[in-house]
Amino acid sequence: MTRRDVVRAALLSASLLLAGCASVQPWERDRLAKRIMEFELDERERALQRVVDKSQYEGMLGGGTTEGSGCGCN
Amino acid sequence: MRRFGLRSRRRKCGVGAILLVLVSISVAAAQDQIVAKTEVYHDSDNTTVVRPSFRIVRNVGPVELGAAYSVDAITTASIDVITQATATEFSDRRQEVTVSLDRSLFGATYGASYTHSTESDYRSNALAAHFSRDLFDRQTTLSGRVGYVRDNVFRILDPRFEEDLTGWGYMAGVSQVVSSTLIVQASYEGAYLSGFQQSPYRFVRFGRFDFHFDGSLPVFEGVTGTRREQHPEERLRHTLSTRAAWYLGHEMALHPGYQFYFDDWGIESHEISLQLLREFGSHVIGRIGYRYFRQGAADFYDGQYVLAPSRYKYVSADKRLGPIEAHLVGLRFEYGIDAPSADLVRLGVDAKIDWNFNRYLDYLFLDDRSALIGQFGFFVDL
Repeated sequence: MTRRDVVRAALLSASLLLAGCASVQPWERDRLAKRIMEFELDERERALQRVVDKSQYEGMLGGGTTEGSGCGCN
Repeated sequence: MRRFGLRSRRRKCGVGAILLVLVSISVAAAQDQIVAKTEVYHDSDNTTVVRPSFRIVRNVGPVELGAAYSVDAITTASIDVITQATATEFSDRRQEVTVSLDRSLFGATYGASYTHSTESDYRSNALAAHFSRDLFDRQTTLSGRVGYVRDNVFRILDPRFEEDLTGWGYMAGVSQVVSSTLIVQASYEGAYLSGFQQSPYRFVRFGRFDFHFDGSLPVFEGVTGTRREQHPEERLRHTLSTRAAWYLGHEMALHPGYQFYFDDWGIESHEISLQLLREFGSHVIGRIGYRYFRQGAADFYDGQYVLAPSRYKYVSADKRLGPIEAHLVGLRFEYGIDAPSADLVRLGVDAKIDWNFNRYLDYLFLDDRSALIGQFGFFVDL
């Protein structure tokens, strides 16, 4: 899969997603409001994971690039 | 995306425990929050990092003020240090301070932050601003961020050495409620970096050399030359990512995710993740997750540079720029109870343990590395 394929797939998926969205009324959102539906259970956990990832891989970005550098990577 | 979470629940600290235990404390007052936690990382390459951190959030009218502090205490005798640096073992301490300000205005949330971090040979100052706005009866959330960072790189025992690195980062994302059981999120994140981007210590060996240990000492045979690591001074990085939260029923939710990264150094990576979350009654949330990561090498990276040093413009001995395959398996539990008094909203504990395995596909000195990362802590919402 080439870089262009991935970008095309991402744009196509986003278009289909937005086009297919149904209107969800507020009283239908009780399951969406559950804590297990949160993408980040703990913001600090995510921040710490970024520090670990940054010290291991150059092929990741994930929100850390402009939030301070230096990682004792030697 | 946390649009639907209770505010008091968001204000929480998680900390973990494994054989190596982290300690964490979290105290929060209504709309306010104090968090303290510690994480421990230990890997098979003789590196241990202990990372305590604190975070305070205070609401003053419509403005939310935040401050965070963390310390990384690093002790390592890794293969990088043994083969590339000047010592057989070293310890270092990295400190980071962040202050932030958020406020809601005209239906959107705006925020800014400043981060300062220091090590014995590194100093970093970063500014960031972000916003998010709900649209279409909160079915869509747009978010964005822009940041600037300026780093100073030093070399221990060489007071004349100082280099700079500056960078701009930017992100745009959208979260969409697709149905009463599905939320999808997609984002683009980019960064432009300019300046010193290699190690101030690491050097590269040339030739078809062999490597082995004589006791604890590394021995190299057949090295035809050496040169300091040299990376390009500019770099443009991109990440496309998408993830979803899908409610399965029976108090379970599935979180799949995919991320594609590429940059103008020639690195491409794919990351696929899957997490299953479950509520056990009203007190316990469990999560089990897996992440697969595969990264290709930078154009100028080579496991062995066999030609003469002058034949290469850029050279690197950084295994993070080489091809890597990685697996991460993790477990997390959180136990929370409602407050026993009117002054408290909620209190509880959480614990996490991850096992991370990296395989280095073109790195002479190390084939693989496994790591345990643990957290343990407790929180109180007031």
